[in-house]
Amino acid sequence: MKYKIDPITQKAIKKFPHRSTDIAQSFDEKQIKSKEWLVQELFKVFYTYRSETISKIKKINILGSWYGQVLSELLTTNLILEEKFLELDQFKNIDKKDLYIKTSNLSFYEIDAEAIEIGKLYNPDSKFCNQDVTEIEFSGSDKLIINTSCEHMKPINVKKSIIALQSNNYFEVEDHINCVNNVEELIDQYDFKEIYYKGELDFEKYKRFMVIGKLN
Amino acid sequence: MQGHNLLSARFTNNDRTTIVAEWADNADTNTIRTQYMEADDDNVQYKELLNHIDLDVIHENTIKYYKNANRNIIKYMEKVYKTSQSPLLSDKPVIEIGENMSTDNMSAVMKLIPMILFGDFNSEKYSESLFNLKLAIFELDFIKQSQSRKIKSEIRKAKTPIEILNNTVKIYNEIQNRPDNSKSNKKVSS
Repeated sequence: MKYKIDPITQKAIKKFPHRSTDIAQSFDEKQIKSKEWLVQELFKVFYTYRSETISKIKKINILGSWYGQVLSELLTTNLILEEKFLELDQFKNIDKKDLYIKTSNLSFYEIDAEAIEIGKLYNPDSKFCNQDVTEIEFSGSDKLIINTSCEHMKPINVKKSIIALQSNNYFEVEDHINCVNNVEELIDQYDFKEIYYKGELDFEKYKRFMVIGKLN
Repeated sequence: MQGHNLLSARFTNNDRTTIVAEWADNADTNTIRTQYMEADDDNVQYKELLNHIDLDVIHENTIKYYKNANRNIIKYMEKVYKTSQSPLLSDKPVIEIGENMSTDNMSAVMKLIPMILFGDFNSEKYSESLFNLKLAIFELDFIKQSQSRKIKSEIRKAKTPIEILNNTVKIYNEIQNRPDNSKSNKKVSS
């Protein structure tokens, strides 16, 4: 057999069998596509706005991202420096393995305590916080806040941080309490100082919107 | 170039055989036209250019242009290099201060305080840490607002954390004991 289930997912399903459907769904193609889109654009932002983003950020707070395994994998397996620079003399002494974001700098915020337990299996070095993110005040220009579930919650309270938000126009889903019609509506929910990226991604039944920027 | 004013001219190659000249349109000075030419005595455009600018100046412009370009490349590469030192690449734990600080981190910090304050402090070895403490203290709003120059100077000169904190508390108490002190002034913000 060419493909097999990864050992952590296997462990997660064994430990939490009642959540096996949910775990499988967290690997859904659309979920992965959305996260790939986020990380791809985020790294482009890092490369373009180096000194105000990647050189400054000390921590990445990931809000309501289910088990977080897809996003963390993508964030920590992309080189922080473009390959083309690694050939140059001044970068020759840098070990390539030192150019990946470390999972210990990721903090996951999730309201579902059991989801946190599963998340810890995937990212044992990361920090986990079992809190309702809409009740927390996030602040500081040394933080990157990622929220890929904006449609599920009211706008979060963030000041001064770099932020990457995703929402959609899939109003038909009952749990979606904060859908938007377009990316501008998503932007309007926050006090942006600078927008580094905004765009949309088409899916069969809905559109996904994303904005990456810096808040006042 | 007829109806134009020469803005600048420089060589574009190491052999100095090609020149780029920039001209502003007299009718609309915002319109800039770029002209490439061979630096050949038989070239009409080149001969015309030399009526507007001395060859030595073209050489000087070339040196200035590449010096500036090199400076910009170095600056850019410094920025790129800094990326490789991003805090996100470090495995060293970062203690988050503030409302989101975990109880574990807070306990760890609390345990360290007595040792830092009352233990033997090697001010030479930890001079940078001491400096960072001073910086953090001077970032506090009540210290910024305080007029107590003498105590502030004591903080600057302090050789141990307890000296720094002792003087900081002096300023804090001064503000607390002021008769006109309002509730809002009492809050020590970080």
